[in-house]
Amino acid sequence: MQKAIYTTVGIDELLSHVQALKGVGARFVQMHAERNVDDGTYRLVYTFINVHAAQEHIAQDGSYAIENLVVEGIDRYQEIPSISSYYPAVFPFENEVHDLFGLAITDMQIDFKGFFYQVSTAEPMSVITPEVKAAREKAMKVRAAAEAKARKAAAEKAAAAAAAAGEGAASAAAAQPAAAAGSDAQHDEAAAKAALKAAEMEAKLAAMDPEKAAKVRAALAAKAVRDKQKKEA
Amino acid sequence: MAHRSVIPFGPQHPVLPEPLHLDLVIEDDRVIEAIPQIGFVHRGLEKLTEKRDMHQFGYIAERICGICAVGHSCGYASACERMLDIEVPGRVQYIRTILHELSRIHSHLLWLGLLADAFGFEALFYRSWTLREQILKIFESTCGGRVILSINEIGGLKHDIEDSELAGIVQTLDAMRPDYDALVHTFLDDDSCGERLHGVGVISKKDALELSMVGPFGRASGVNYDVRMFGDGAYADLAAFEPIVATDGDCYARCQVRCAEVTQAMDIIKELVGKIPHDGIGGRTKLTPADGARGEVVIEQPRGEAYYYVRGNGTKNLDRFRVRTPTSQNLAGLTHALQGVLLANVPMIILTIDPCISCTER
Repeated sequence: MQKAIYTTVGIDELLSHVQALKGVGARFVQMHAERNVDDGTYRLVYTFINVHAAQEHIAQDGSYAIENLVVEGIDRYQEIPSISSYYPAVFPFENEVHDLFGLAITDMQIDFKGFFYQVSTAEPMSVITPEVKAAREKAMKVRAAAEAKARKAAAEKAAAAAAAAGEGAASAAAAQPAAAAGSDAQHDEAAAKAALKAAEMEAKLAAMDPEKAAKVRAALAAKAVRDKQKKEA
Repeated sequence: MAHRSVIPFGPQHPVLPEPLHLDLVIEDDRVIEAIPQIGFVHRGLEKLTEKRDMHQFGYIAERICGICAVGHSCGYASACERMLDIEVPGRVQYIRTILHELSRIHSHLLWLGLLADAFGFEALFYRSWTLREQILKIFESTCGGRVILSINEIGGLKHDIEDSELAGIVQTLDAMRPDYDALVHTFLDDDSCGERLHGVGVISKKDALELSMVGPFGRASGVNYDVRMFGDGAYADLAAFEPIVATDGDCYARCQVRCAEVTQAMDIIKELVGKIPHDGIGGRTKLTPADGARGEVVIEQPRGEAYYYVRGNGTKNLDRFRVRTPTSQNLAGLTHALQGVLLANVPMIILTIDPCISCTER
């Protein structure tokens, strides 16, 4: 069974990690780049397999690991050191990352200086198409709606529990002697009503668009502050 | 002092079915340095995940290459299944492995034919491809296509291959065996073949490891590495598996390794057909990868280790698909193998790495 291990490293630590992997006899498998659509940065993934260690693990528990070094948050044109002095087979991939993503890899053993691929669009893999943006935004909205639905269900459950607690408190108060119960029962009833109202409002907010819900929350908070100031005055 | 000049080799050349360019720096008729260049037919298939959803992209992944189509299809489906945390039934794994091994046989027979053609042995070329035709007929009768089978999908198979059909595959392979043995005898024991292959394009084991060479190209130099030995999927149920390794590191050793791998693949298929479980063929699943979910897999393609990586972004499309094919990994080895050889042997050496430019230009 294959497992994957991802270790996030900084650009300045990359070569020392690669050197360590080379030292233990790990095979170089590949490297590739990815673009983060959300923040526009890049990620590099270097993959290795330590065949000897893999065979030992397979003998022990039947599984082995593909080891990945991940460099996150790379800005465009930030210099990335080449690992070709340790693993010469990386040269096609480093040139590819340069030509297709526009990332600057320094000290490549075989450097095609941007002429490895004949591309009609410069750095094509760095382009985020409108389709991708639209699909991404749609997915985020769907996810937000699903979360809102889950919150609404949770709020309704909480409201039902609060209502049940309110009824319980009211019946308990009715069982007390009338003189002692007067003010306490009223207080409990008011508290239960307030809890019910708050739960209903929370359920309404949960069903709203997140941006609108945030505005309503802000308005309610401002109203609460104004009411408090009025009372104090 | 010898005269030094640069000869452009390719991208169009009789020995190359696909465009690959080499700048050969030669001194008299000996190659001093070779610098490869690809990218003439780069198709940007990895970018296409933005426009095709995960199921649709399975068809594109299969079309990365016409020879390794089954392997690409299996690798892509497995990587997606790993990302989605789907466990496919045992029968699916067995059928995928059987088809993949058949594809190895057809790929190696195709290569043997091209090799024979390269050193001018036309009759041997015909015989190799006649045998290969029988594998293509198996594909056609079981899946309906000779090259693109389209049987895999994420989560299982589109259709089953009946036990009777599997038994028919074994019968065909058994019937091929005597002809194949005679073919191998010619390749490995005939003097005219041996003279062109022995001692040509030698790479030592040390260099092969240093250059991260994969597949029969690496194993011919003594690199004891074949992804199948890790026992993933149906390979785990094999009674024994040992990579085929040679030590000479020359063109002859590469031929020797591929010849033995065909026999090994036939044995694997026979064993798996005898053990195949009947637990269903899975089916298409709902695609809901979490944002940032990843799946990766390495498989042993006919040309060597291939790597597949997928990353989801919460939509039906993948955020990133990556395939690293064996040929792109072996380019460094190719340049090394060409250093110091006679110019006349360059086509032979290029052929013995079995370059697949379609795969490389995905």
